[in-house]
Amino acid sequence: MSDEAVIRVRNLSKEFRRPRRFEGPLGGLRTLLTRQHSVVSAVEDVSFDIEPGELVGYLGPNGAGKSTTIKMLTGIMVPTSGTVEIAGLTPWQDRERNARQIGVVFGQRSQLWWDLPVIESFRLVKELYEVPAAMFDANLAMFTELLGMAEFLATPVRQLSLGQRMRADLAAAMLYEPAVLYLDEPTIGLDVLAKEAIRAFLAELNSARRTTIILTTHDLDDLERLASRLILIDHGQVVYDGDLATLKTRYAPYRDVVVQPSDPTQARDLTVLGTDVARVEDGKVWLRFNPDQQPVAAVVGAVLADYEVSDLSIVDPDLEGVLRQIYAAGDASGPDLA
Amino acid sequence: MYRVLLAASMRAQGQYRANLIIELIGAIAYQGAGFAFVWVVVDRFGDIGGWGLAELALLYGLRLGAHGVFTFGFAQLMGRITEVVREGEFDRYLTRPVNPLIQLLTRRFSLTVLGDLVGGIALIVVGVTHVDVAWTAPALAYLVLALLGAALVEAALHLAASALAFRQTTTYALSGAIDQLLSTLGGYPLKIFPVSVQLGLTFVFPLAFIAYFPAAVLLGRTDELLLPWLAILAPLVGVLLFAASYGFWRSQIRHYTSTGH
Amino acid sequence: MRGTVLRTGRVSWQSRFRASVVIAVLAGRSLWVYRSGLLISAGVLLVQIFALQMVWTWVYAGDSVVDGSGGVGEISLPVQLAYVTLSTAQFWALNHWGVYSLQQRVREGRIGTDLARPLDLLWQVTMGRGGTIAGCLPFALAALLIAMAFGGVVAPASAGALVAYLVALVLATVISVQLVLLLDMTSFWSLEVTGIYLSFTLVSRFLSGSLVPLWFMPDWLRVVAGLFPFQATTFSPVAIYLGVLQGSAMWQALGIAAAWAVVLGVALRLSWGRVLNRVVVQGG
Repeated sequence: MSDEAVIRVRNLSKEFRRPRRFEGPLGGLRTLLTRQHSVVSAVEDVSFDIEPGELVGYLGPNGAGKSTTIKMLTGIMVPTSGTVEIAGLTPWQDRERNARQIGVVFGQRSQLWWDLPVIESFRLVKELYEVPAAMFDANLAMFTELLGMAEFLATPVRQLSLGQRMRADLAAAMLYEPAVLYLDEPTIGLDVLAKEAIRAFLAELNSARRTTIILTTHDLDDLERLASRLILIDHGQVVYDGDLATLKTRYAPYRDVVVQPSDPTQARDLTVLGTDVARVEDGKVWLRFNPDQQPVAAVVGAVLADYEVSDLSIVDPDLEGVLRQIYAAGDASGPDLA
Repeated sequence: MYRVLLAASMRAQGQYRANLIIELIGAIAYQGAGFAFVWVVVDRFGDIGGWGLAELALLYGLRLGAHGVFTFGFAQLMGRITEVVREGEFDRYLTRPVNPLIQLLTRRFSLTVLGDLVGGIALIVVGVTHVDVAWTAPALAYLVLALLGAALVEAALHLAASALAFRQTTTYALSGAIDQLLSTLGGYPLKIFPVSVQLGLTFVFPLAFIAYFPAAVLLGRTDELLLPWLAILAPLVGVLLFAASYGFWRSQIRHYTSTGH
Repeated sequence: MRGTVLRTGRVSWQSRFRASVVIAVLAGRSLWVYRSGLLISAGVLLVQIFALQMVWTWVYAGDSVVDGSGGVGEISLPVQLAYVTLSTAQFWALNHWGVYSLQQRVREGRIGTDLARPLDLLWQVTMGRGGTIAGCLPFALAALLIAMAFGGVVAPASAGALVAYLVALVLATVISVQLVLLLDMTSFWSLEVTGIYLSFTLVSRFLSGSLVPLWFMPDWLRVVAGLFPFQATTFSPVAIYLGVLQGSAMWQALGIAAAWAVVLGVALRLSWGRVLNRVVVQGG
């Protein structure tokens, strides 16, 4: 926790009061008369600092409170308690001033003006954010080149493909050079090339301009490629805050050796001392071991010594598996219900 | 900023070429039904509440003209907020450095809104030219102010109804009801209603300030009013009501919980 | 569901009947989902009824009766008030917005799935409209009951008048639905039909007598109203109920209404054929 943090979140909480709805023919009347509410805690006591220039992945299972947190950070929602400071401003109070220093890209909904050509939307952004002409022209030229937008600058937004629209949205969000960029599912539904273009653009923004980027995504390749830090949220609380490597070591301190014995019938009984059998499938065995306690070479050697093997590979825990574990553990212990 | 966004919406509207004339005629026709009623009744019975046809034309014209001004500037307040919230569009408004209300009001532009304005002004002109009143400059100025004030009253009602959308209430039916009530009741000199109804239409549902009070003032009929001094202040009341409504709107944004995701 | 498309391509009447009922019930229940909006709309209906009652009470200005034109004789205040109450409620129920709308489905491009259903599309939309009207009926009746508590309704002029009223009401419903469908069909040609729609609303509203009964209209306007089917939807039934139209005048009104129902039905069938042609050729 340093003084330079551009995003400062302290004890952020958001509760939703949902009126208890009654079913049946007189349900509507009962709902209206008895004002009972159930309280759902979407975000509970979340705190973190983000330094300028960090590229943070913000993730969690659906319903974990990700979007709620982002909405409070961007000033869309007012929290039940807690504080947020973006470069000293409270988003929901100084909304218009804060808006000038943040860029927001929603994957599902474009910020561009639907019926107008892309370039017109850019010019509107220039007007709304009062971008100096020189800055606008320079950024426009650079983004057009980096994102390959030249071919569709004159096309109305509603005629764009998803990939083109995302790129245009991204450019529009950066035209006024905000200090912080929030991205909500920026690569969802895109093909591989488009995803690459966007990832490259984000990496460039982060390294060249030190734009602080908060990335909410379910695409784990995005995270592996871009994020230096991960904040995991589950059931409204921060479950993990640190870098990717530590995440894996803490939650998945293992590696797998995948063995395919020449004789498939051996697969079921194949064991090696010091390893656990994680999975048997398709005549292959996943042997799980802790690399701190046993060097890989020893395990491989043991396998080759005892068995005839037609194929063998070594697999690291993937991020998806790690997350699945964490989410499952969260479900097992149960959410806190107010 | 308002001008910038409005210009953008106008350009967007230009992309759709609709048959403007038909639209205009249709809009006028729709609102004209109410006055046709008045006209037929007067034709058969001579007057309504002592108000002759020309006076009733002025009254109805004020109501229609005010509605025209209202739809020109505030059409999006009539029930559109529900879809704006549902589609996540309002989220976007909150992340821009512009007042979200201005963004809402300028999101779409349709020239058909001119229909009511044209119809209203036509009726006003008819009323003005046939009524036995000296049209001095102050009187005409008051007429214009009354139109603007009345538009603000209607805007205040719809703005307050729209603000309820932040609490997850569908406001479409409510806005429709407001519109219907103003249409139905707006064309009559309120003196023909019982006193309790008159008071209700002044202090509970401020219909009286839209057309009846200003018309009564302009026609020198203030003696038939319960509260003549209040009637003269009609345009000011419009401003005050709108300010109050806007305050309510801002207070409700705090409760905005946003849908989606 | 028993009753499939036979080799000749004809669907048995039993399955058609069943499908029709299903669609009507569906339309009614969809409307019920919006019951809060419907409730508000009914509230506005009540306000309209009361407002009109107050206006007419004032207009009568102490006279107990007023001469009506067109040979109907004297109209007493209670009769006039009853007319206003019944006609407004009737118009409301027959013309209320519904969830199932042909125009809406064209706009949303869902017509394709509708055409694929094993029931003539024209019947589908008719039943949809009927279901909507049925869904509105309880609210209209409730409004009438409340209005009655304030003295706005009178008993039918006679048992015969009541029976004739019900017949006229059925015809009014049929014609109402036909008119709405004919109007909705214009949406097949152009989606931007708000102007036509609104003009139609004015004309139909006014000439139907839901605002002013025909007996208070100037002679020329009354004649014009007589040329159109609209007065059969609101004026005729209520006038029959109140006994204002009786004897030969009543039979005449019923006959004209029946004739219109036939004419509009034919017009619907003919234009429907052309519309279907266009849809199929242009791919919706």
